[in-house]
Amino acid sequence: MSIVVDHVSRNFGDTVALSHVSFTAGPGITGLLGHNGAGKSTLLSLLAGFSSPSEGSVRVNDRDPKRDLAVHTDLGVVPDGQGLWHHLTAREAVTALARMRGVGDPSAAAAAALAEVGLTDAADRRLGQYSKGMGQRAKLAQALVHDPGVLLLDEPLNGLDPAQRRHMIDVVTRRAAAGCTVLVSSHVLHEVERMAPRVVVLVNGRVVAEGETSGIKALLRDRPQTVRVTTAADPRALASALAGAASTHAVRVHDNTLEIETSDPEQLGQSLSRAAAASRTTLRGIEPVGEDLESLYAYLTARARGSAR
Amino acid sequence: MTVATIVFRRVLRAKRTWALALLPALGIVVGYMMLTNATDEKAAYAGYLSGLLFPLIVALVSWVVAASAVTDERDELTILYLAQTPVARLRTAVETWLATWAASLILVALPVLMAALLARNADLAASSVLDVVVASVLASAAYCGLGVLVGFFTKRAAIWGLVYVLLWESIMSGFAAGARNLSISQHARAIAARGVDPWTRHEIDPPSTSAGVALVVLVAIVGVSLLLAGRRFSRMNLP
Repeated sequence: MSIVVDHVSRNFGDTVALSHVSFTAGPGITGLLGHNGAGKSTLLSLLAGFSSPSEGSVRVNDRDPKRDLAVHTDLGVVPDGQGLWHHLTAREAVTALARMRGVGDPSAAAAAALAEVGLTDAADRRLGQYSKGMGQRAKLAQALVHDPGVLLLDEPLNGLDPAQRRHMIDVVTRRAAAGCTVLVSSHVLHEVERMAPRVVVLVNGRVVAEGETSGIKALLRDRPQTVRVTTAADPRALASALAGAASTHAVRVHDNTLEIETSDPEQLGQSLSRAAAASRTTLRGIEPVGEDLESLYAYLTARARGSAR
Repeated sequence: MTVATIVFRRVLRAKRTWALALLPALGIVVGYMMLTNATDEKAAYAGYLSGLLFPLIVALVSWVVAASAVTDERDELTILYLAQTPVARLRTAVETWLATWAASLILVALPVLMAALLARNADLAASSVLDVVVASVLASAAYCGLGVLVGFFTKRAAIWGLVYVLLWESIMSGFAAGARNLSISQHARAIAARGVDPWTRHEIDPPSTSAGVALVVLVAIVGVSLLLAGRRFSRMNLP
């Protein structure tokens, strides 16, 4: 495997950023999914050799990325949020990094990498004049310039418009199809889903789910969900009508609202319209409760703890 | 020399660098006044070296340029790009030092030239002019070495440099002989005072070491600083 993370923990003082994280990744794209602060950037930083784990070990192409600098001849990294040298043009910066990584013809390699990310026309502009999206593409170009076998991409789609996102995904997908091992982090499931057939989910520094992206998505889809229904009048008749429905796990009444727990929102929608007609209740609004990422991750965390027990 | 080129261009484009140039400009003004108004030319030369050139202009310019070059890379996280290359960390430290040393020498060139003019004005031997140039170049190298080293340890390296230069190099080293031997500017003075007459040498007030020892000390400071800086860079945890 190109990437091996073995029982890795990383502490910052009393704060545990990563706790006993283990997984492997080989050729193709692996998504690293997690909310902000989950430990994604810390993990990528360890794999890039920017820092050392407090416990455990990381290997990239069977090398320790912190100690063995030769790893960088076959490793490309797009760090999160930071730009390249603002006083250089994109061509100068990418050429310089190609030269430092031992590329035979740095100028030609830089031109090819900048063309691959669609920056040929802007290659001779200073990076300080770049928009955020162009900066992201320049960062990807420097990561690709030495044609690495392993790519670590930390939130690479941040700051990109939809067309740029599509282009970035195409570039990464092509590299993966050619045999490159790509580990890409994101806090947005559908972004990862578009790129990665396999995903590792991190919550509060722990791996809470790992496997095929479609499986993780199904897991999330099947979890219990809460729907809030607002009615025009007293909703108790509607609550009674819904209580026996197969899709309903529990119903709570609050003034003019009902909170309904279900594992099948689609079937609940059908039951709800029938129950509303039967109980002559006018519906004012229907909205999901806790559909944010935090609640999804909380569910996965609770599930992981349950399976651990 | 890719790292050196990147750092050198960055230093020359930084506003801080050109704000620092005010210090050499002040040195030139003061030196010119000494050149034109001094009644005792040897005392003027000695005072310029001991009070202005080494402990303030060369020290502050070199330290701040070097330390800031490293802390800018750290603050803006462009150090992450230097870290994702197979280039040895010691080499990165050495190239950073070379770039900042070269930039510092550009900034202090005119004040050093003014010292040479003051030496000629004091009827000192031609070798004294060479000595003061060598002393300035080596002092700048040593301050840059320390600046690079401290820059890898703390992001407030420039502030620490100001405190060090103003307290230690300018004040403390003038009081005690022991402190004098630990001062870069005092060793620079030992080289600059090598060929001057005893009276002028007394006014320059170098440490009790010879110019040869001073030269070895300054070179050693550069070597040890860069070794430690390379070691620190290879071991430090980046974000």
